[in-house]
Amino acid sequence: MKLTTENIKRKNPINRNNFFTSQEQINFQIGIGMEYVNKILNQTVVLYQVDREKTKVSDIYSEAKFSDLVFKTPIELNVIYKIDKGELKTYNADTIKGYYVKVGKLTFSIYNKELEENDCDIQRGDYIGIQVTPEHMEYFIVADDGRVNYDNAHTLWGTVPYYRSIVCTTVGDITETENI
Amino acid sequence: MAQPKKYLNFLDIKEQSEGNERRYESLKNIMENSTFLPKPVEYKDIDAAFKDWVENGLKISYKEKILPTMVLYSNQRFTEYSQTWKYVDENKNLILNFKTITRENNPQYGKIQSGLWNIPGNRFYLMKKQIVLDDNGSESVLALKMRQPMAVDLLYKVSIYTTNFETINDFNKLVNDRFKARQDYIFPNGHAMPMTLENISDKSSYELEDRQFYSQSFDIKVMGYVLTEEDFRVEEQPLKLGVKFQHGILEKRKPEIEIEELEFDPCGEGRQLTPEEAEIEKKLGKRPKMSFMQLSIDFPRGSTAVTFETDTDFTVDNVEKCNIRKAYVSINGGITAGAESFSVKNGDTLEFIIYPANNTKTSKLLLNVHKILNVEQ
Repeated sequence: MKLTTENIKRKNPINRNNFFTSQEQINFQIGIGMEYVNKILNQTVVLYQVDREKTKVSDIYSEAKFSDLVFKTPIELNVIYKIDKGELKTYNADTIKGYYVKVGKLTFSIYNKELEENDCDIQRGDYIGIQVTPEHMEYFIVADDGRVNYDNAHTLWGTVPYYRSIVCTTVGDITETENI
Repeated sequence: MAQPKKYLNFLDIKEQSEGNERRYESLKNIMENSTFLPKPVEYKDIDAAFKDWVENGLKISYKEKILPTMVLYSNQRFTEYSQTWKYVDENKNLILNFKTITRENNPQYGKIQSGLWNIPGNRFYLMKKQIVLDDNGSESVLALKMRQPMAVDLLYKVSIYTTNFETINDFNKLVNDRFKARQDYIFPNGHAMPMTLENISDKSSYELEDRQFYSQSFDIKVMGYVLTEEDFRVEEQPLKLGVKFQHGILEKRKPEIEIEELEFDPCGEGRQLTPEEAEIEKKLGKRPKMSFMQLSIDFPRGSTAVTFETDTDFTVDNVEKCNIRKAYVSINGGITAGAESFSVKNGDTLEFIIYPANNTKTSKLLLNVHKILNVEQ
C-alpha cells in the first residue's frame, strides 16, 4: 500500500459529556463489565465466521451450498446471551400437519472490545454455536449483526458505542451443521 | 440559396435479413456453439439472461457511475453481501442508487403457445436426421428427436432505488421505450423468449419523519419454456443402403389371407338386406339362404397392402381393425373407398391398403362377409 496522507483515516476526538467522565473512567467501567462477563458469568458462544472471499457462490443466484461454505477458525466469545422459548409449529399451517418445535431466537450482547481483542467481526450470515449440553451444540445464523449501535442504550453515558446486540435465528436445515 | 450539409448522414450499409431469412437466422442462433440439437434451457439460464438484459439493456447512471444491479433471487442470509460488498458503507449497509431483480418463486404454466396445453404422452418428435461416420467406417443415420418444451411464465420485478427524481424519470422512460412495441426479448442459450411489461408501481418512501428516497418497480413477465437434457434423444440407425436381407425374409412380409366359415350370422336376425338381395327375396317369396364367413388378413410389420382375386360373390357387412388407423379398399382398380361395407362379384380384384397405428407391430383386418346360397332354387 502506498503511504500517503490519503490512506490515514481521520479521527476526531469525542469530548461530549466529559464533565463527569473521562476516557480513563470509561475504560475502567468497561473493564469491570468485561470482568463480570468473562470471569463471573462465563457465558460463551462460538463464532463461525463465513470466509466471504474463499466461499464459492453460484454465478447467478450468489448462493452457496453449505458444503461450499468456508469458515474461518472458530472463536469462543464471552457474551451475555438469551435463548427464547421454543415454539410448537407446523410446516403446513393450512392442515396443521408436520409438527416441529422451533428453537427460540438467540440474542446476545457482546463488548466491542471483546471483538477487537479476538480480532474478529460478526456479520449477517455468520454461524453461532452454543454448547447447550455436553453432547449437543445448537447452531444459529446471525440475522442482525447489531452494527448500528449509536443509540443511547449502546453508548456509555452518551459518549461512544461500547457493545453490540446480536440477533440470531435457528438454522434452516439442522443436518447441515452436524459436521461443522 | 441551398446551404451545405453540416453533418454526415449515417448510411445503413450492413445487410440485414428479413422475413423467412430472419427466422432461419434465429434458428441458427439456437444451434450456435452447440451439437446438432438445440441447447437445453432451464430456469437458471432464463434468470441469467434476464440479469444480463437488466444490466445491459437497462443501463442507467447517476453522478457518472452506472447503477449496480443486485440480483436478489435467494434468501440465504449472506447472499446479498456477496453481491453488495462493493456498494456498502462502513456499517455494511447498501448505499442508495441501485437496481434490484427479484423473481416470484412459483412459476406458472406458460402462455407462450397462447395458453394451449402440450400434446399428451410426452412423445419424442423427430427434428433432424444426420448421416455420421462410425468408428468402423460405416455410415449411419443419427435421428435427433426432442420432446415438446414445457411452457412457463416467470414473473420478475425490476426495481430502482434512487434519491434523484431525474434518474427515476430516465429509468421509467428507458423501460417504457423497451416495451413500446408490446414485447421485448431475451435469448437464453439462443432461444428467443418474449417479455411483456405487466405493471409499474411506485414504492417510494413518503413518510414525513422517515428517510426519503424514490423507488419504482416494474413487473415483467417472461413467457419462456424449459427444455432439459432429458428432453433430447439421439437414436443411431444403420444407413438403409448397406442393409442386406437374407433369403426368405421378404416372403414373410406378405400378408396372409384366411377364410373361416361360420355357423351363425354375426349380424343377427335383424340383418338388413342389400337391394339386390331384397329383389331375390321378392322373387323367391322367402328370405334367401345365406352362408357366413370371416375373412382375415394378417399384415406383418412393414406390410401395408394386399391384392387378391375373388372366386365368388359376397357382401362385406362390417370390418374390424386391429392396429390400423385407416383402411381403404379398391375394387378392380376403381376409386378407393374406406373399407366399411361393400359387395363384390366373382372375378373382382380387391386391393386393401392400410395405415397402421403402430408401425412396429403387426396389423389385422377382419371382414365379416355373407353370400347367398339358394339363388337358383
